[in-house]
Amino acid sequence: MKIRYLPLALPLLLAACVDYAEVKTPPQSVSFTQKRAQAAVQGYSETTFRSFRSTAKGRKDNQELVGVRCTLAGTGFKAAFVTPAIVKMPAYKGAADPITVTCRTDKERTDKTVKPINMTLLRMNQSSTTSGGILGIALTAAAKGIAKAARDPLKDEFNYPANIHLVLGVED
Amino acid sequence: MSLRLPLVAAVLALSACAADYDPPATPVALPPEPGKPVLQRETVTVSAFLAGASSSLAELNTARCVIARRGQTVTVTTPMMLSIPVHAGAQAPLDIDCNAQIGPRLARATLRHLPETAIADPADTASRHYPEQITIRFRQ
Repeated sequence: MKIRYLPLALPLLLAACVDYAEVKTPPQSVSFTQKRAQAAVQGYSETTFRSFRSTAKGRKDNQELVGVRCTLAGTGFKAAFVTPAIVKMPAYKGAADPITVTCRTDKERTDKTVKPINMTLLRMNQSSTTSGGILGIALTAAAKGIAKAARDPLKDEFNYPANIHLVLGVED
Repeated sequence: MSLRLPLVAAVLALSACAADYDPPATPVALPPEPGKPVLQRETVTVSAFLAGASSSLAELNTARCVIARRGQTVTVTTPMMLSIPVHAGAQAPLDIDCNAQIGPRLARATLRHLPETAIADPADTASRHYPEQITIRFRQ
């Protein structure tokens, strides 16, 4: 392994060691506030919401908080939960809007806006590249760019991230 | 790596630029202004597209549009052909207000289209005052 990858690998290894609190409640559903938002749902994906406390300025201790009350609001749907929680988030085609998550304790509050992920574009970006020298890489990149432009954006699939972390207290 | 893949992708990209839907053959008539004689009628094709990330584009066949000119309005679904009455004198802009269901939201796009030739001369009925194509663009 090349030495330059070590700084990248170390945080990943440390992150793998983080022991998160067990989610003791079953996955919960969102409630729809607009019929059009409900009718447009293409499926659901599970998002785990966790809350953390940042205890020192300039340094996030990421001490997980259990039992923090949170609400989320999206275009045409909402939910309320207590962290850690799994919420079945709606998936859409064509477009999706960011959600706003608000968590509060007696003393603290945090608001976070989370953008949906264009899974179609993500899959296209992650697809494997063929080798063949610089020309091959350039041609593959060009072909990918053309394929991305040629796709039908109405069929783009949008999901919300699988994990959303809310940090209360001192932010970096 | 062969050149086949980029070539196929390029052909696909070019084909994606073409309109996906044909408008109905019969144009929808915008009512003339009351009391003004109609010099000629011009047919404009109105289309709506969704512009996505990475320059992708898809035509919408479900956008509902209200097209207004000097108080005269018509409601249509894209794509469609609009028959615009041309009166003598100054031509008014077309105000187009469209909405379409995209994902969970009812997206809205508006456009004010100015006439290309502002004044209509009764002696010249060959010149166009409005374009042949008007495109409404929604964002993803």
